Amino acid sequence: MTKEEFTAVVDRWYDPLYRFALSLCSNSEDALDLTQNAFQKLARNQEKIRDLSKSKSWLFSVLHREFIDNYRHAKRFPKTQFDTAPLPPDEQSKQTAERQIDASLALEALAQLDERFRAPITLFYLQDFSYKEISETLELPIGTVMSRLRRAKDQLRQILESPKKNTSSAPVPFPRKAQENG
Amino acid sequence: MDRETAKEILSAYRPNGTDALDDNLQAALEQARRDPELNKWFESQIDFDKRQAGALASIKGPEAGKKAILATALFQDEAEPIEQPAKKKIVFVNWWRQAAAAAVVAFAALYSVFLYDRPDPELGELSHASWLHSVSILADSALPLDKRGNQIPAIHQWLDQRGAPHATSLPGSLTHETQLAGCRIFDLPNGKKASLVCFAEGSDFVHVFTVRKSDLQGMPIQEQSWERQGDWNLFAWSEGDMLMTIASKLSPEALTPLLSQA
Repeated sequence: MTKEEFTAVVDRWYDPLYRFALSLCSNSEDALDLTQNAFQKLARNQEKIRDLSKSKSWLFSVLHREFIDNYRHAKRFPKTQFDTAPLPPDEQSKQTAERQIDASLALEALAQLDERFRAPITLFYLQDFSYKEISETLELPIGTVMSRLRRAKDQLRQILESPKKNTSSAPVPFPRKAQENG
Repeated sequence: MDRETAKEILSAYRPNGTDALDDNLQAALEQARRDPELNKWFESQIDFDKRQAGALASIKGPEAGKKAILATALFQDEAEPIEQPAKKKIVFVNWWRQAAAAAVVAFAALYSVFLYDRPDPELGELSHASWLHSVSILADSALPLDKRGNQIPAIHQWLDQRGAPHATSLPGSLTHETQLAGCRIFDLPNGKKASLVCFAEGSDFVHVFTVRKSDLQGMPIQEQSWERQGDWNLFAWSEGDMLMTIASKLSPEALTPLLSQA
């Protein structure tokens, strides 16, 4: 991989990878660490990635594994408990919720999702991954991906349409433009 | 297929329409066209998905993070292989190598300032100019930050906990008009500490180095004047025992408004 090729990969996947990391850990600093670590590993393993088109799934797989191995297990991110008891949404709260979807609210809602659903639904919403690619990246059967996408969306709707949840959840740190080097 | 199965399959349909020709989704899409209730559910879901995807797409990674990724990748010419032409290879410097190199740079730079027991005439006198030279070398070395953060009180508390000096107050314009990135601590050869607090202004940086004047062994200090060392514009001022020195590649004209309270 040449410098130009690596730069192109960073340009193409830096933002999506950061979004994925942020949805997983709900912390801008750790999201940045995860993102940078994934690119560092890509650079170190460039010989193994002969087909540049594979760098996308490689990056996201690496980041997801690192999150599971080093971050989630270290309990750096307290797991958000999701109340699975569905609240019957009324029409007004539904409309209000749909109007208020913005980046921070979307992240808050993702943070409240059951952890099994968070990675596949985020990859889905990045729109760069087909369900087959999500299956490969997360090493899940296709049927499981479809099932989790369906259930994730159901949970998201419940979260976003519940006024109580929206007002009580802690705001997700939202970076303006965090920096790395001094 | 029943309606619930169709819904599960259609849940994998991306709202940008990329999956319209996917073989596995075709049957469910066709069923949605024939089943008004399923179609209504599908349209509602597409609308919901578009909003979610749009919200997520509005999130941008910190620009400096991308710069750091590209900046820390080094390109080394490989020895020419037998079967293929030489190709530039990307390698990342291990963090510990960076840290070791940084320590060497920091020591070499700061040693010229702190001439204690064995003053070396070749290194020159303990002067303000040598201090500024040291600061410019440290700024040039683009060392990684020890602590990232965007809140001044938290950064100052972190420095306090480690016995590192920091500005008692910073120019209001600097803190309001730029983005705090984080800080780094330097160990001086005399066992004392200095600190760097880094701000980003667009794609440029404003570094604020702080050292206790009492740790400089009476070094004469020239305050409130611009100096240029290499690529860096430098400006020093003091408050109490703290000597602050700004290093930035921004021009004095661009920096002056940021230092209006300096």
